[in-house]
Amino acid sequence: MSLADDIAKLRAEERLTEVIDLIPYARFIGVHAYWEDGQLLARLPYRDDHIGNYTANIFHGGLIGALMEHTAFMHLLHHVERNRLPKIVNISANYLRPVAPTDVIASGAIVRQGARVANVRVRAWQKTWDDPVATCDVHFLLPKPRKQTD
Amino acid sequence: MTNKVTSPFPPELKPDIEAVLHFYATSPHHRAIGLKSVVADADKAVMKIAYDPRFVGNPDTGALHGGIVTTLLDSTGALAVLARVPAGTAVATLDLRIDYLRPAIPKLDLIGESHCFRITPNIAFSRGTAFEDGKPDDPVANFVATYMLKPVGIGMDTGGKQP
Repeated sequence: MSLADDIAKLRAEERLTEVIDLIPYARFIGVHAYWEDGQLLARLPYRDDHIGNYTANIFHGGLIGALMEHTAFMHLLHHVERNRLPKIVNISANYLRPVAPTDVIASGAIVRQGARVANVRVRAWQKTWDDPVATCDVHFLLPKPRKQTD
Repeated sequence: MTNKVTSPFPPELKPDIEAVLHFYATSPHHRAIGLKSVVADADKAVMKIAYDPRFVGNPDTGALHGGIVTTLLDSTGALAVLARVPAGTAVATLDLRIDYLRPAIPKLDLIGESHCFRITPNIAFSRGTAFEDGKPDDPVANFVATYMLKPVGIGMDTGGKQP
């Protein structure tokens, strides 16, 4: 089975939060996904080796970028059904405040989805949603829609 | 890509490349992923990361996850800045933009190369690319970022006070 097949299976069984288990890098950094109040969220738990700058004791910015990119991917998989996987085109991340050594949570929203391209916006926070630590815009190239056969 | 960068800082305040390289080598996340500095001078910064199956984003192809490319380029861009600001200046990423031009070829080491092309008293600008070792003309990703500068101590929190 390919990754696309495995993801389609999880999607059909409403187990998309388990997509992370299929992606080695997502497992490596320890990100996990869950539903809360009808929203699909991703959480990056604090770990000592996530610290980029030990003097300031803050997360490495690349990890926050990785969390937001993964959140966008998962969000898109949930909302757009295609038989192949979307390809990431680019990311534009804003770092709004230092990311303290506690867990980071992220959620995504599709800003616009066209026939070929989707724009997903992600927000990451630690204390509360309205106090974001970072935001990110991610563009995906979408595969052609599944052919309708009935 | 080298161009003349005028510094807003007095000429006697020089960068301390050795301290910067030590700081980079002992960063917990750099150690966790084996991210190494190769070059850090006024012209460019180069960093290297060995291919590792734990960093894969697509298990079908073995291509690296975008997150590892982001980490490599964020660190390389900041290193290019640190190599030309006064010793002790702290650098924090304000924003970054990465274009993923093509998937990285599996099993090859990845190189990040950046150049700091403008410095003001508060903000520095870097751009660069990521490519497989030995293939600088065929980049995997293009990168541009801005960094906030803080005048005291690497990453030191001065509580808003400045000397």
